[in-house]
Amino acid sequence: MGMRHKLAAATAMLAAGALTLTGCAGGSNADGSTAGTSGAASKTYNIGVVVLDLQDPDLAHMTDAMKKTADEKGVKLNITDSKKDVGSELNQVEDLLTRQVDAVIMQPLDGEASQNAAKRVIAANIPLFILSTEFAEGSNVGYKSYIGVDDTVAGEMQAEYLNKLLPNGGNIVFAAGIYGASWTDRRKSGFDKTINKNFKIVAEFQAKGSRDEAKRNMEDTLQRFPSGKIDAVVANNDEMAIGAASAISDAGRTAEFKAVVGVDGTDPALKDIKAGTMTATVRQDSAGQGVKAVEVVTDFLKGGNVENRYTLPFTLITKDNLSDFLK
Amino acid sequence: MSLMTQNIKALLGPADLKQGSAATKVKRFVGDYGILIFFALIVIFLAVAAPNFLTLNNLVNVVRQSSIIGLIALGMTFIMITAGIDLSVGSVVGLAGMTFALLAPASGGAFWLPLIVGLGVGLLVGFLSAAMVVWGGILPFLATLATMAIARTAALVITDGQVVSGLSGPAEWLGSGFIGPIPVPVIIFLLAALLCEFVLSRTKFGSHVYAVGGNEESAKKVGISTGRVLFMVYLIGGVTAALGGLVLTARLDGAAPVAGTGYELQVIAAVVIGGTSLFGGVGTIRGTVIGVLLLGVVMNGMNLMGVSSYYQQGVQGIILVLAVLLNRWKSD
Repeated sequence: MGMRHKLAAATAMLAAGALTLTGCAGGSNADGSTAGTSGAASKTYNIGVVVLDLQDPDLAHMTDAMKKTADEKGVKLNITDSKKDVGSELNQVEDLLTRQVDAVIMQPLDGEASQNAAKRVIAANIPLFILSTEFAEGSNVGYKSYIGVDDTVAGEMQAEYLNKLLPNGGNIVFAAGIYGASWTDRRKSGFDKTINKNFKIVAEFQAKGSRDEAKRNMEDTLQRFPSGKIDAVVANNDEMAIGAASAISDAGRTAEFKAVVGVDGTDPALKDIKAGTMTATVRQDSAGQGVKAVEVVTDFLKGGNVENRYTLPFTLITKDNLSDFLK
Repeated sequence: MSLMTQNIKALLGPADLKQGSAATKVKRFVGDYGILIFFALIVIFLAVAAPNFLTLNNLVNVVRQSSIIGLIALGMTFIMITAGIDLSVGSVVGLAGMTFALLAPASGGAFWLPLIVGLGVGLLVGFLSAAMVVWGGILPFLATLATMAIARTAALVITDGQVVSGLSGPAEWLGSGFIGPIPVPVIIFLLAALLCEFVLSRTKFGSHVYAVGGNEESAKKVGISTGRVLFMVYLIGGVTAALGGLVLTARLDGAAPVAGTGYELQVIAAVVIGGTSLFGGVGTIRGTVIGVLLLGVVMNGMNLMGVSSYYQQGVQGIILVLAVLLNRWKSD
């Protein structure tokens, strides 16, 4: 344990620290701000973006699409990550306000708790745009536009699919996301309202959107219900549907299930539909929403008029129209 | 050499109490077998209360589910006996699994390459943690908090946050295959547990691990290279976590960069339930295996009984508290 070792370790720590820091900053745009000096006519707008979880594959994909559009439109994005925590969401918003961005695109984490952060943006007189997740119904946040989908519709479409496929109903296992998160609650309430009375939810578990937890819970559920007692699995997202489908196929019981349906339309889910372990998914075009948001904000900043609400549609994907979406 | 062994024995605590009243005998019995008795009671309860619990099919299912947390817990036991902790294991699961998934389809038949590289990633992270702890004198909690963040960042960066799906046949076999009636993950877990049990209870290195955790200064005085022992335990921890990550990836036929998030806490809970002390010097692999199975059986039982997932974490918490009380009462 000589001095040299200590020095080496200190250097290693510094390097590690630097790595961590760049890791955190990796989400935001790399170079500092250089534009703006080239004259008022070609001012480069800085748009702050608050994504609720950059570790989510679907949202990472969305963010990439947004960067591309921003490059094409000649605006600059400062992308930040709330890391699924309302506390850090507020911090990110405050930092963006300190950096005096020209507009903020925010993807609220929680229908209620995120309103505080949103109101800071409005109080600072910076135009606010809401992307893909909504505030709780009846709330009054003065944003310029909402660009996204209505998650309730995704649940409704899952239910309509089942109503049509199995008019006489059946027993359902429900894989819920995160109770209290707006995407879970809205998708679930849309489903519950629309599913016909012949269906019965015989088991429900919370798998937090993860393939791992859904698989473990589904394995237990399969032990609980012998052959012929379950007809369908409904999951709040695709990763959970994939996990459940994998438990079912490991148990050799794929044939018993008339429907295994998720939401999102991710590539692995499409592969599972092709393989026959999943039967359907409701695709939300996350990348499309992100692109639209950047376009709307750019229009607004350049003096255009924007609408209060841009709702993008969901698409039901089954074996019948799979080829349109498979890459 | 015999002097050294004696010194080590002295470090491990007072010699066995040969005599004692009936009350102390009961206490020692409960102390030694308490967690096993607790486990047996839970199994009996579930056998009665949860339909389908006591079927061969379901028991195989529980052990298979537990084998991933179990593998990680083996290495964690070594680390915690030295009074250390490793918060990076969940991130190692994600990073090693991701490396494995990226290499497994490309290498087709060459199943060994992704396996070795995946385990190597675990070694590397273990090495980083150990370097900070041993050379830098940084507390294990902080050193591994740093490696936890770094390994997770690496897993996210190499795929830009995307999921990698679809493994080659042999790679998938690691997670879903069977040898006879026994699932491959269970076999891997059992072999690893036997090896760790042997190393910890039958080798000189094993006794050094206890000595370092019991009292590091005295261990140095009797000539144990404490730095080398600490290095070894973090390397073991890295490898077992990586192995857990490979099995998880194989089981899910794909890797998500966030896989394994929060595993460190489940693993630490299982190891503590199994009787390992956070203050070091105390713990066994046998105990850890029971701790892991106990948590696995409880989660499975609640699912079979249809207990709402609102309550499931709370029940785990209560079990943790009971186990800690039991262990403290034993050592009083």
